[in-house]
Amino acid sequence: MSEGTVVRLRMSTGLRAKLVRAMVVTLVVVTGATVLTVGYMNYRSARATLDTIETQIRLSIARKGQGLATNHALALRSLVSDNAFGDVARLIERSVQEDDEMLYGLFLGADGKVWTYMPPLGLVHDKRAQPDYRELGIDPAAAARPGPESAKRDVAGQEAFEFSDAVAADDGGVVGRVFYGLSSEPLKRALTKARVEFRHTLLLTLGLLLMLGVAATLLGIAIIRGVAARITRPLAHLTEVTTAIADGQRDQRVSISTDDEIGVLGRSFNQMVQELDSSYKDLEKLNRTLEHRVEARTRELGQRNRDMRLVLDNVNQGFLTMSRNGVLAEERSAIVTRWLGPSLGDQTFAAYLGRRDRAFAEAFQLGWEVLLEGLMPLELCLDQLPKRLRVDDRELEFTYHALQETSSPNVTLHGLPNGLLIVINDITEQVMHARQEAERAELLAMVQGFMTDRSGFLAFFDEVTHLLETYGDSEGDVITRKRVLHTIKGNAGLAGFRMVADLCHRAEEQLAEGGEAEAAATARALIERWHTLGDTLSTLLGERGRDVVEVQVGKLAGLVEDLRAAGVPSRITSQLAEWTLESAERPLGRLARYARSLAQRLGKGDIHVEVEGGGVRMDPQRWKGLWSELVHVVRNAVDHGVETPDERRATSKRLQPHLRLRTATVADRLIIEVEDDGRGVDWDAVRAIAHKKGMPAGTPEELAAVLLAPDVTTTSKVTLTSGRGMGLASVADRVRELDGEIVIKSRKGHGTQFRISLPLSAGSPKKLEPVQAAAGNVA
Amino acid sequence: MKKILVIDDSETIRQQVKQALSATGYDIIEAVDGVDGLEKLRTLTDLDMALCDVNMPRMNGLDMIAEVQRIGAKIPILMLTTEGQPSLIRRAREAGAKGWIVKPFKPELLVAAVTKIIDPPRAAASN
Repeated sequence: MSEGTVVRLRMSTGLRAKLVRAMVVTLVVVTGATVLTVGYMNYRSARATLDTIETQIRLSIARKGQGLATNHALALRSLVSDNAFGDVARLIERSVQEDDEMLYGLFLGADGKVWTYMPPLGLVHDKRAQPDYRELGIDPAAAARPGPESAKRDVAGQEAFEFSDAVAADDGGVVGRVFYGLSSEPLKRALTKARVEFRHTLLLTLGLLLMLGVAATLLGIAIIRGVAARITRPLAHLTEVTTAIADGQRDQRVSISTDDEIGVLGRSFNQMVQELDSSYKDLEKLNRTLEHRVEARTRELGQRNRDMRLVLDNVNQGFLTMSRNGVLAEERSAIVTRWLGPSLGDQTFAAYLGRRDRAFAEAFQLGWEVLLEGLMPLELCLDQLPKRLRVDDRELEFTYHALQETSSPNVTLHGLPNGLLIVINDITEQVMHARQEAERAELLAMVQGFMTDRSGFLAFFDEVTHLLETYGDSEGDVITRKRVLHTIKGNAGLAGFRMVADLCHRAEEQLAEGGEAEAAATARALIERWHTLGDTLSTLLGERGRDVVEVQVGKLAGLVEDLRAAGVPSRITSQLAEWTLESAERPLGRLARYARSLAQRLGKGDIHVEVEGGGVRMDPQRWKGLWSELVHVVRNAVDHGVETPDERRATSKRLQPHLRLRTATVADRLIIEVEDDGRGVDWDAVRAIAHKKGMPAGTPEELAAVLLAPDVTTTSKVTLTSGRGMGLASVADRVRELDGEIVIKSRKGHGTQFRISLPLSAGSPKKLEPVQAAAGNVA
Repeated sequence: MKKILVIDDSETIRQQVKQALSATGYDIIEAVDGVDGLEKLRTLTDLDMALCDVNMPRMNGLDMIAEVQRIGAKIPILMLTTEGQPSLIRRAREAGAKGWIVKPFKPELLVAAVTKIIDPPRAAASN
């Protein structure tokens, strides 16, 4: 509001001031002009009047003076003719003395004689001397002239009007002249008086006029201000409202009801504002609608972006897009960054991959270059871009898809893509599986080859080994090397060594195409593979190695018989007979391996198994039943006897559980012992079971019998491997069959020992007896 | 009738190429190595293009292509390669080869490549 007021004041001062100023100037000018004109006119009339007065007075003086002079001239005629000097003098003297206005008088005879001279008072002259008329300046010759004359004389500082007339004689001749000088004082006085009066009048008039003028000006100002206010008020109001509208209060309107242009302006203004307001409202509405739509759209896009980002972050495929100039887009699946590292801003695909694999990047760059040339079909080019990359122990597979701009098909240049979609898959698993498959197949081939034709296979193997050595030796000789590879490839292929054959093929091709480095790498892989196969072969061969002879047991037995019958010394035949036997360490070893793996599986950790063969050699055929039953004992020992690592730690025993497997021959008996340093048998529990089953449980033998009875188990849970209570019973049966006995020694917390004692005759280990012919090899 | 020369020491490959291009109606001429290929290129004047293996006895593909360049034959040559090593490709292109196909090739790709080189589409028509 105050602004409005200020505006108003300013406005009104401006406009009003202008009007007032104009008015004032006009009034002042008019007043001034009037005053000047009137003054001037007054002055002129005053002058005129003054002139008239002067003239009148002069005339009157002249009349008087001349009249007097003429009259006296007449009067003096007779006197002069009479030479009445005294009368003449008296006349003149009296005239001068009686009239204050008369300054001097003189009668001058024509002969120049001064009849009378009444000098003017004031003229300084020497008292003694006679005044001289010549001091007046009268020309003596004038006395002789006829006719009236007048002159002006300067007498004693004042102006005198001189009137003279000639005194005529009777004969008409001039006898003299009488001179009278009249003062101009009255004239002066009258003039002065008149002048003063006129001045007064003039001043009065002017003053009055001035006052009137000022009053008129002030009145004019007041009027003008009112009028101006009447004009400026609506304008100020208009300004106020305009300002308010500009500030945003669009509902304001002017209220001007005057009947003039300002009124029209006011109405038009209101109309305009109305229209403006409604347009503005429409615009606002439109704007809001647009804002809503933009918001909704942005949300939508944001959501889509998030969804896409979610997909990209979680998908386990790598997605990358590349523009035609090779530059990668920033958006990519999160997994790409994990595999290949973070992006470094605007980077080409080749640069990005070049960090990990120069060869790949080079191949890609070349492939893309060729693609953009457009000479080769697009599909072919895409197919020939590098597909495999090994990085950080991962195998990544790359596939490429051309991107065309669907919106602007005209942009594609001769069918070339605008960009590339690169899809990366982690095929490490597949590759590994394929590799494992191939390895297994090769292994199988090896085993088959070995089994089918042992010596033949070994010969082949040695041949290839030798060839590979040749390869290593012939550095630089491409032809030779190619030939070697070709030969190996053929042989290996025949034997079913696919991986080896493929490696040979690869190396061959690489050599042919001049890839020395690649060929060398492939050759290294080949040699490594061959070494692995060699190791496997060694395992197959076992500790007996290569130079072995295989003989059927029956045949050997037959030979021994024959030799005996032929009377060959027994030490030779015994030696031969012994060859059918195997060391007890073998089966014990197998049991030991079983025990260790079982311990691992049951969570008992790493147990130490001691194997003591005791030099015992046994017929594997005869005793194989027993060994298979002993599995139960070992199982029992590991499962029930051996503590868990935690349990073990709580005891004062050494941390690693120990198991001892022992065979020995004592007198004529074979002893087999399975001993552990574990929990020991819970004899109380056994007693309880015995009680429940109604079995005797007095002596250790009876207790042992309880333990070995079927359906007895002191364990509360049935595991996969034991707990059913069948195992030990089975062993017991077998031992009984062989006429042997089992003794169980156990102390709770210290360990358990199973001691099986069998009569040697049962299996007759050291004696050779006709053995059932058994198929298969003695391995 | 378009004529294509196939130069490869492997009978299998030559047969595969013949098979793949059988539907196109192009005439396939065979050569067994670089020397043979060169000879045919010199004598047969109406050949439209050649497919050339790299790894061949007597004269390998690269040398052959270089020789072809030297004698000034203007026939487009496509290389057949197993490895597709960049260094090799570059040398081949320098020697004048138009492109390459990796062995073993997909028949449809071979057809597309051959067709594109022999009958290039009008450049004005954009996809």
